[in-house]
Parts: sequence; C-alpha cells; structure tokens
Amino acid sequence: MIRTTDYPSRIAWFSAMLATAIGIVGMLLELAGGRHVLGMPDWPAFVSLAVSASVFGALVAQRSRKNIRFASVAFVVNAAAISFALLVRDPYYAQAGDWLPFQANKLGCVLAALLAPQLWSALVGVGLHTASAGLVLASVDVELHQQIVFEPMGTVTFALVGVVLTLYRQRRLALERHVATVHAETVAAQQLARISLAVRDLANTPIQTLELCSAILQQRFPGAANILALQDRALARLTELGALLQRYEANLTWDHDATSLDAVAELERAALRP
Amino acid sequence: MRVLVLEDDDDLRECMPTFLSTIADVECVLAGSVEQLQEKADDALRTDLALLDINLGRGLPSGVDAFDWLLNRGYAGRVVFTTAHAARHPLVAQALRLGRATVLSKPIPRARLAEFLHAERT
Repeated sequence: MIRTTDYPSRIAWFSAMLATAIGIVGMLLELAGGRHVLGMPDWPAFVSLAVSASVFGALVAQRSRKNIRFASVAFVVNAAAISFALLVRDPYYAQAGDWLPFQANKLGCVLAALLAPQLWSALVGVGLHTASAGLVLASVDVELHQQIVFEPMGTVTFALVGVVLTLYRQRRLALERHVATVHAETVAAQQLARISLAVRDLANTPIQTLELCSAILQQRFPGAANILALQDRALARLTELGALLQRYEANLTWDHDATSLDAVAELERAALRP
Repeated sequence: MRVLVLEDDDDLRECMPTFLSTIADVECVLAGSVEQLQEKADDALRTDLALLDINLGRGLPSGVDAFDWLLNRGYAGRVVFTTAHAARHPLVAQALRLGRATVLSKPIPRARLAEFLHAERT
C-alpha cells in the first residue's frame, strides 16, 4: 500500500534517477560526438559517466529509504559532473569550429528546472550549467569569441527560463504536497470515525440489555436500590461515552456498501491497517 | 396489549418481555430474524406495537424489510425502529424516510420505552 504522504519523496527519487539516467545517456552521446574533434580529451566524459553511474547506483541502493534531501544532493552531484565535463571539452569544440555553442548547457538548465527535487538543487543545477558555459566563453580566444553568436545571451536566456520554470514547478509541488497531506488527514479521520462508530455499534445493544435488566432488578429487589443506583450511574457514563463517539460520525462518508456495515469486521480491518 | 419484538441479540430479546411486563400487562411475540417473524405471521400481525431492530446481521434482511413485509400484510399497529447504528447510517436514514415509523437509538432510556407503551395503551 502506498501512503499519500510518501508521494513527495517518491517523486523526488524518481526525478533524481531520471536526471542521472539522462546524464549517462547524454554523456555517451557527447563522447561519440567528440570523437572527430582533434585533441578532444575523453577522460572528463568518463569521469562524468562514472559519477553519474555511481549516483544512479546509490539511488537504487537507497530506494527503500527515500529521502528528498539525499535525492537533491544526488541531483547536484550529477549536474556538477556533467558541467565539469562540458567545461573541459567545450573549448575543443570551439577550436574545431562548426559548433552550436552550449546546447548541452541549455538543455541542462531546462532539465534542472523540470527534474530537480528541491528549489535549491534546481537553482544550483541551473547555476552550474550557466557558469560552465560562461567560463568556457571567457576562456576562448578573442577571435573565436566573435564567431560565437548569440552568446552569452542565449545561455543566459535559458538560465532565466530555467529559474522561472523552477519557481513555477516548486509552487506546484508545494500544492501537491499540501493536497497529499490533506488527503492523508481525511483518510485518517474517516478511519477514526469508522472505528469509533464500530465501537459504539458493538457497545449499544449490550448497554441496552444492562439498562433493561437494571430496571427489572429495581422492581424485583427494592432493597438493593443503592447498589442498582451505582450500576445506573455506570450505565449513564457508558451512554455518555457513546454520545462522545457519535461526534466522529460527522467525519464519515457512507459509501453504497455501507448498508452492510459490520462492526466486528470493521475493527478487524482497522487492526490490519498500517 | 400485544408487542412484537424483532431483535437479533439473544440477551436483549430475552429480557425485553420481562421489562415490558414491569410497565404494563404485555404479551410479546419474539423473533430474531425476518424469517422467524414470517413463521409467526399470524401472531405478529395481531400485535399493537412493533419494536423492530434495524440491523439484523450482515447480509440478512433488515428491520426495514420486516416493516415492508408487515405493511404489505395490512399491519395496523404502531412501528418503532430501534438501532445501535449511527443516525446517518443508510439503513437508519431509510427507516427515517418511511415516515410512519419512529426511530429510537440504543441505548433507549427505560422511561422513553415506557412512554411508548403508555401511549399505545391510551
């Protein structure tokens, strides 16, 4: 059974795993794409692949103890490894010419906005990809710099779009978490109401029997009036308890099957619930 | 005065006639289910007051079914539903909609039961 309160950590975990998987596939494509570039070092891509694979493995290993903060750290480590590989390799693409600059960085900004588990990890992810592109741009020769059109404005635009998307998505996630919490509270209130009513249903008929027996005994044994008065007071307290439990009835939504409500079965079901 | 008691709880069904007899001269017809009620049809239909428990066990005909059965056979007495269920339970809500019957929630105070009996006698 999936508890609704688990949804945020499940979503965060899935997002982090998806981001690392995209990182692995993307870096393999990057590795293949850089084969023709003269002097292109492969080691940054391999380092990035190793880090992404390790992060993916850690997420798989820890999947039974899902934690949003862990997922965020994993996401940022993966983004840092990719940004580092791009930082080292992009100047070689720039030197080789015929290069669409910072496509991976721009994609990284959008993916960070869409997949980062928390606000801070999204902003750090966008920042890493933007900073990587900026450092590459600052490090290339002035002549090459002039050949790279629409930059740095192109990357900055994607970074800004990433930030706006991040803020929008985080707001939506906060709303989803709130809805999940409210839903969990409603389910708990329904369960409490059903248990309360089941207890009341089971108790009311025996209390009725005691009530009538007490009246019979009062008539047959007038000398025991004091003792029977004690019993009546105890019965009155049990009746008050029933009235208190009745308040939970307002929280209960009856479904069509409720006409066959069985108090014992209801209590047995409640005992089995996690 | 004759009273029909339809109640699936053995203890309550057993003590109800004794209690009623402490209030008035009462002759009771007892049934633990709609099936038993139908077996005692002649006696049951001659009673002046029917105390019908609404919930007679999961999957079994209810007190509301017993009410329908009595009405279809021209029952002329007063009908009082008794229930341990919540007031908003669908079966109780159905009984309340019947109009002709009164619904009392258990535990019913002995004074309230006595009121009904006295009202029937007068």
